[in-house]
Amino acid sequence: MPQTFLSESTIPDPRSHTPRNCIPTSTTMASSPAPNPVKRQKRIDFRKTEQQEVLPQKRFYRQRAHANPFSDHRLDYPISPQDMDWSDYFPAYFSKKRKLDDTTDNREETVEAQTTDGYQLDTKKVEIADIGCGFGGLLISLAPTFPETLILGMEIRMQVTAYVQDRITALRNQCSTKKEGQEVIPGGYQNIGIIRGNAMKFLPNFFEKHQLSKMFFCFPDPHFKARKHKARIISPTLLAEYAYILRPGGIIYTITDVEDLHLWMAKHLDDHPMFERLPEEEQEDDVCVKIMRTDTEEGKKVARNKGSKWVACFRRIEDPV
Amino acid sequence: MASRRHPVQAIAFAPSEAPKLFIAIAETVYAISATTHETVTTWKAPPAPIQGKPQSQIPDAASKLEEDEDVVEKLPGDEAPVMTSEENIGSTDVVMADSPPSAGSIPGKRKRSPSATSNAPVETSEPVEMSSDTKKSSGKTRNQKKSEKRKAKNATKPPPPPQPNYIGQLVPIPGRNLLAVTTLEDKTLRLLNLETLENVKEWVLHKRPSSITLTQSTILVGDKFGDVFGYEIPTSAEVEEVSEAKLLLGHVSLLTTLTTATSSSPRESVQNGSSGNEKRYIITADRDEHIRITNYPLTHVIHGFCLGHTAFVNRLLITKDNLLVSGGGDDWLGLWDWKQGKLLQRVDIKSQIDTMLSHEDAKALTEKLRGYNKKRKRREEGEPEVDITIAVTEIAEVDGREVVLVLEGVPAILRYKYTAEGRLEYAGYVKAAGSVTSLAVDGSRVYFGADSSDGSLVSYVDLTQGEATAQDFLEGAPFEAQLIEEGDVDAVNERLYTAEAFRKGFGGFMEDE
Repeated sequence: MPQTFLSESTIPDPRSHTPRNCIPTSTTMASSPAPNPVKRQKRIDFRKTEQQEVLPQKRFYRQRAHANPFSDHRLDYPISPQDMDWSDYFPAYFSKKRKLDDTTDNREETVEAQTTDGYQLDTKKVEIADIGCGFGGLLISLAPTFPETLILGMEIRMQVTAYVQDRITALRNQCSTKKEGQEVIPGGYQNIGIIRGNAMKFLPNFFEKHQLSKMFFCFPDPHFKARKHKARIISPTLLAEYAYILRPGGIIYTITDVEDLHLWMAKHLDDHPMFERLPEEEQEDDVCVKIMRTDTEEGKKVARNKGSKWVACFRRIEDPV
Repeated sequence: MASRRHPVQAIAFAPSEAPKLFIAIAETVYAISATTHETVTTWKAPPAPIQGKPQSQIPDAASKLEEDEDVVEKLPGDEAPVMTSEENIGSTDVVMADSPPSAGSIPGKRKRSPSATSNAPVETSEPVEMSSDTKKSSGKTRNQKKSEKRKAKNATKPPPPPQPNYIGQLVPIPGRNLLAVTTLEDKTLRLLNLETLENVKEWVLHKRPSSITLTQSTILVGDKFGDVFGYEIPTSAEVEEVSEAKLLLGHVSLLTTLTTATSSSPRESVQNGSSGNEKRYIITADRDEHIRITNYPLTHVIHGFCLGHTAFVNRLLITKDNLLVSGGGDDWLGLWDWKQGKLLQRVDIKSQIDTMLSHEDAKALTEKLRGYNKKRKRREEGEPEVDITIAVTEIAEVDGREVVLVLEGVPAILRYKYTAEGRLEYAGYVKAAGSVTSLAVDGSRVYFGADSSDGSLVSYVDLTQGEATAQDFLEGAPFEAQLIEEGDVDAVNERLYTAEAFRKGFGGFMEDE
């Protein structure tokens, strides 16, 4: 989310963003908390307390606005969608799976077995993904709109992910300990989850072919420089992967406050043989578009600043025969 | 001991009336007769243009000096020369966009363009760079100022020494009498005449190539930025025509290798043209453990993935049974039903290596492997004496009977035979004089290059019987090896041994802080 520049000094220097593989050490972690020790302590203290129903505060989860999608972050991702244990993210929908003890040793024996025993997902699968969900405004609004559908937010920044996780936990707890007069939220926020990940690299590790019905790309990093265009979340080559993960008829939603980026995304989606643009009318009737305009954290900020928002939605067509 | 000879980094075999072996040593391709073992002809890659400047633009030494002084001089004073509106428009980006596409201009790369002068009629008597620099120092944006500063810094530094223009990949196209060659420093794909090694055609690539393969009419080039481009193989009549690269697909990860496959049995259809209903695919692998199956030519349709590796995937092979063999940084080879994305077998490599090597050899290999990965070097202390990691650098099928593989740093070729059930089973190894650096197959014969100070540079072995020993291919033939100079050893090693460096996250990349 490019609009959250903290100060000039936090704007990443392109020279430090070589696509070389930086192995982050404890001192050079790009995502480590702010250097101020007092703030840091406060942050840690806040996180430690058992915040059963209290919503988290953003100021304890600040992080610079950018992450390099090409570098090796220390990410946790499954080897394949069948290996994914969703129970940590949707405890109401998935029973705890037998964990793989190790990624190398014990897999020798399980290789034959993995498709048959215990590894199949329960009845539901994630169907909606919010790529680069930021502070999770869209997720929280979508949750009661699609109470029966599992919605996953993906975010590469660790602090932000932690914020959304705490927010979801608090909301779930609020719903489960219902008080008199409290509004009943359909789904009780059990249907949303957040995961830290690099969607540009690892989407196929999480989702099977045709698993998703909707993908959201809300206010992505614009990467203005021409040589950084490959780092954009919508690119001709990545669209093939999105088409693989989306089912025919599935929809990609994009929104941005940067006109150039809007034109870029619309052009590449238009040019891609697997996508067709949603007619204006259908787009404006779509409840998701309304939510996306008003309820994303960035959307709210743009509205506060009286900026413009550009929306483009595309349907994934049937596979060619 | 004599100084070390430069090992052969790539080998290719071309069947024809006079079958030839092509070997690449540093910047040179040698065409060697497979029958007489004599060198027929050689081709040396032209030196790469100095980085950041297209060749056409390098001014003579005197004017270059002048120009550098100018940059330093002009910087402190922020005087803005009077400019016409025309010049304003002509600064930086716009000029680049307008400049004619030359061999050196790659889209998306910033380069100083010589055509800057054409838009600056006022200062025609001044050197080229000066006019554009003064324009920039009056800069309006922060970015421009920044780049100014950087430039001023660079101006005081001596230019980096020219890097040798290493040969990357060699692929013969016998049907067209061509040899496709990539060079890594100038990032160029060239087509050479297979007989004479004369340069027929060349394309400047977008990024450094990591792998190339052929379809019937196209050369597919995978690059380190994760993209795959297609280049039409021209007929002799079309050679002069300009043909553009076509972006076919891309990973957001370093693409390590690619191959092609067809829905039915593999070999015939690639060579003789496919029948009507046959589907074709490109299979690509990357550093982030993925193997991806993409339809071809409809590359916007992904057929599926083969997911199971836990380290980088470095080599792929389609077998006679139309199965996929994959290898890389894992201790095992994967045997896949690639159409279903199903892992059929993990073929153990690690324990074969452990039994093959003596303790001393294992220690030496561990040391070598650590050296190949800089990240790993840093953390050397406290690590065990013997800790062999597997990095597969070549996989090839020999005569439809067995699969051979090469591991980085290991002085042997490992053999795996097909079992009756179509699985792979370890079947011994062929000893080499040093680390095997390249490999090519002709029928049941395997040619390979080895990195050794006194053993044979290129060897061959016929894998028809159970036990096989390698012969020196160049024995008796006049062949002058290239020697590595003392100071270049590290640089050469860095170019030759690249696979282990793909390994990421020591201490386990899955671990979270």
